[in-house]
Amino acid sequence: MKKISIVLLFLSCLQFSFAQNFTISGTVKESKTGEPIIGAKIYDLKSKKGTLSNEYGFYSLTLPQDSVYLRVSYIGYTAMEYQFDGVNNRALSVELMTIQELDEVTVTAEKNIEERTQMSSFDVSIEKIKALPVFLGEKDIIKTIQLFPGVQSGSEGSSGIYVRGGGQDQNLMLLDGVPIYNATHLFGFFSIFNADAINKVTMIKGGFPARYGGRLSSVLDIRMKEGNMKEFHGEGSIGLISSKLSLEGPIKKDKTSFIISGRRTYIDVLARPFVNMRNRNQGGGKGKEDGGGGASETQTGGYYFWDLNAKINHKFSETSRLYLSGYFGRDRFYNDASNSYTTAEDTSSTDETSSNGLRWGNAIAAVRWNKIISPKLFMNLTGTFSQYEFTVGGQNESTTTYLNAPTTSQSTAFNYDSGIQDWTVKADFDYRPNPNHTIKFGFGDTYHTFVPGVNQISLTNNTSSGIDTTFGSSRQYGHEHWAYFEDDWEISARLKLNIGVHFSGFKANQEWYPSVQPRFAARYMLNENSSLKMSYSSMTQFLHLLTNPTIGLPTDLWVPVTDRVAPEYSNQFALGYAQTLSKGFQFSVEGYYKDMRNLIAYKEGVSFFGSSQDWQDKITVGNGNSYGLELLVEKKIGKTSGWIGYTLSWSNRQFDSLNFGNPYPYIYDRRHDIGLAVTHKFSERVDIGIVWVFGSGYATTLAQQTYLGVDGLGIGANTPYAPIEHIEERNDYRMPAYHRLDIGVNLHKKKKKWESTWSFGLYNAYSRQNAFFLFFEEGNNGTRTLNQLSLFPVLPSISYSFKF
Amino acid sequence: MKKLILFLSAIPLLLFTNCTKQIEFDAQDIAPRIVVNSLFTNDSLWAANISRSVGVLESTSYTSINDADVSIFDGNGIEVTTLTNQGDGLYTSPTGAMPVADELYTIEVSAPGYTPVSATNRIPAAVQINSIDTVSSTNSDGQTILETTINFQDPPANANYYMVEVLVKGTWIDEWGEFEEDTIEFREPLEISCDDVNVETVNRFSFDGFDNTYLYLMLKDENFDGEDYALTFSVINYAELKDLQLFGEIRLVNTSEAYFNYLKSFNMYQRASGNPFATPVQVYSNVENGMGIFAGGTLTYWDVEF
Repeated sequence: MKKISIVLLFLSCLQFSFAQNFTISGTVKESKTGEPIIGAKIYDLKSKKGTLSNEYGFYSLTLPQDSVYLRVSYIGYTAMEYQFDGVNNRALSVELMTIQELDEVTVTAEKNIEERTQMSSFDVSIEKIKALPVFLGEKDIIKTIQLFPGVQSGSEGSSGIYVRGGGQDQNLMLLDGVPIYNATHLFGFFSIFNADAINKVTMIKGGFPARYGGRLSSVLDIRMKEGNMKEFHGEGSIGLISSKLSLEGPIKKDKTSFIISGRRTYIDVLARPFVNMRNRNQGGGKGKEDGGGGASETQTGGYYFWDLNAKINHKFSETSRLYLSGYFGRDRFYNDASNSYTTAEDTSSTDETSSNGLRWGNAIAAVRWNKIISPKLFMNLTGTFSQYEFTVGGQNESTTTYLNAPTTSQSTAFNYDSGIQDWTVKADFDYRPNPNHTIKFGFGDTYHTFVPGVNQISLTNNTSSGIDTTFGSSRQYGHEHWAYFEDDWEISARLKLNIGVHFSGFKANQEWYPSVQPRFAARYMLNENSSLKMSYSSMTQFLHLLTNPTIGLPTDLWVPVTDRVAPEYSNQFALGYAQTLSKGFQFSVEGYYKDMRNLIAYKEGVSFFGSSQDWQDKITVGNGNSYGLELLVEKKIGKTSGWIGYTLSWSNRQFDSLNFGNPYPYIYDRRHDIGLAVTHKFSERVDIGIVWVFGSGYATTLAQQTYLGVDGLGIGANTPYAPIEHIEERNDYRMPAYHRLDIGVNLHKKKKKWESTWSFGLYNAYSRQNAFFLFFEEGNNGTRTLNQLSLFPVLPSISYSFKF
Repeated sequence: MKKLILFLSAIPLLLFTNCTKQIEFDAQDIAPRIVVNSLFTNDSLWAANISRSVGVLESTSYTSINDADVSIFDGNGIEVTTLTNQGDGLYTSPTGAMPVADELYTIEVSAPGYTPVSATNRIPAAVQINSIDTVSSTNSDGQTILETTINFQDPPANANYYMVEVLVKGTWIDEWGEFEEDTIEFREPLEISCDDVNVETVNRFSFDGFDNTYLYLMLKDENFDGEDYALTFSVINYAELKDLQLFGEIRLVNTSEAYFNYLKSFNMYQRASGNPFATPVQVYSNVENGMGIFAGGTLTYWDVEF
């Protein structure tokens, strides 16, 4: 209570220090669709004061009483200007119109890179994501993010991200503010985010504002579209492996809108003719019988994933709005078989059916209420549900009919379930007492339910008593709660700070882990176009991910802190320089150092698959650090735009029980990383995109020698010997460098109410054989060679997309 | 039309093909190294097995080194003994020198064409067994077991590492004439079951309905440093032993940390071997510039009659 009083007193002081003021507030939206514009710049040219719209398009600008000349701008939109006498508070909602072709002269960009206090972050425009060539024609937000410095891609084709030396579990992926626990389809090759339903993507790698917490290494904040308030529209695409369709429009014009977007792959459908052909060739499906005994067998199987985004938003008034949103997605591998056979003497016949498969996916839902309480205070109340579940299971049934004996039947089933489920309530406030302070504060609580691997086995038959048993790790529950306060404080025209603190705690069983995490970021303008920046972030993570270190399997398991496994902590320092150059170029360079404590890893020799051992017995706890330098040159406007990024980095781990306690390189330690992404618009009808990536080899563990060592059967003189593969150091071998070129061409056609695009692409255009993993192989003559497995040669793609 | 559909259907399936190729092995150092295997105890003669490692790309088999110079030095750098080759890479002390507990020893091995190697270790002082209590009983599955409690005094201050095993001793008559002697003496470890929380589980296995079965127990004194410790376990195939009226012994080995680490990592290595889902295991070695182990323990025996 005392703390709340202090905060209120502080806010009051800020309020009174600008007594002769008035406030302009409202929302900034896209004129055609009514979508909020996040990060639009609202700037008074007279007082040289300004602000940015928040993630709901809300802004509030308090100015001294005077006439104002307000300019509202955002990249890709025609700026709007307003002139009036500022005496009384004024509500001003702005609708910006898109401009057809970006022109360097007339377009005002969003806040320049050097002006922002926030460092170590970038936004990715959806237009850019759609224009760049992609893997098999699937527009993928995560794969585009991997092209920026500081973000590593993991293994070939993967949609996992490893940010500044952190693990894939250290990324807070938020879809409309709701955490997503497994953001990939098809073992990590595609991300779950459907670009057609997304409005804005922001990635933060360091200098974390206090409003974010719960992960050590990054925040990926993805905001869904809200649905067109004015007209009904749709878009979709037909690709090689999937098709998707999005529909949006007003349910009641300017009051209520919806958007629904779905996608499904059809690898299973396309494969079906081959499966049927195989069944026919094997005589399946006909119930074949003959005098000498007969058999018939049919098999079906396949893989598919689907996902669905949906959102409804309703405007009660200009100051009150309600949103309902959800994401649902599933991956499924399945194999069904049936088999019938009779004995040669026709004394018995048996029918067998089996069904086996894997299923995994996320389901999230959110309800949120926005309320502009006063021209300076914006409130967002949210309730969310997030679930990730993974199931592998199988069922076999068999019935045998005898000529001279009773019929027997048997059924066996096995199921393994794991997952995590969250219920969250939170309140976030945006308070703008004056142009020099943008204050955010809030609090919330998440109730977690962890299912860290439950096995179920059942066996029933009609001749004896059956088995029905459940075993494995028991469910665990925990409350994670937090509160934060941050102030983006413009001390002078040159110096701006973002200071804040994030309090959080986790309660599991009898243990409570509290944490106070200070956050600090500063920007100092060196001149009109360049600035120095620095930041410090302390982060705490209460969840751990038990993961296979090489490939993102759906079996990866989220587990909580316990009395044996403490939270993960990190401290990150960053220092940077940012400059806007001529012709729309932006340049930034950043150095960072991050230390991480209480990281978890599998113990040596532990199997990460198919074990009933308690997860806490399988892991060991250690530390890590990472440091590096990142350079980014970006051009956001003009016919040719894109970026080139370079990262020089080191990432290490140290666990007392791994590598004999010696530090070793993290598996995704990559010394040099280059990402180039460029699009060029030849005309309204034709544009191309080029992506080139280069990364020095990741670290891997290879036994380089073998020897005979004493067997562990005792200490006697006649101890036998056994061959041992000698590993000198963990992760001391480097895989070959990775590089790849992707090229894409988009051909657009525009009619009055229908826009279409044919996209042609080449993934890995020069068919570089990149190593997925390495292995030794023995040849016929006894010689051994080192080999690599490569996944993807040059892959052409074609897709057709449309908009109406 | 049907063929066209089949062709189009095949395109995405073909996209998921993969390929393998041989690549150059960019090894920093895969030259063969000297391997030293020498486990020493307070009642054994100095001995070492010297062999060479095999580079992972080599097609040659493991070979002994028979022209090595092998010497043992004490903590003051004074040579204790030089080991001489007995063939097949086995080197023993011609003087009959034996290791002494609590003394620091260094083995130095050199051989033409190899980088010389060395290793240093000390076997700790013996830990006396205060008492051993045995009682025959029947478990819930009706099996006859010999419940055994070994009581010993853990020395304070230093970290101590133990290995406990139960051996059955006897003679075996060579009816088939396979050996030179008509009767062969044997000493075999027995399967024992143990639920003690301080016992390492890396060498645990399931046997005859018992989940916690071991051929020997490994434990360290982290949780009972300096205390009188009672370790309880069961000899699980006691019914057969009782009928045969065999004799045996319980051995308490106070091992060096290096031997404990080797034994633990070797067991983990064996368990993970061949499992593609298991994380890699590094087998512990204290041999500088080489591989293998130079370590041991001090044995204390207690005879038992089954």
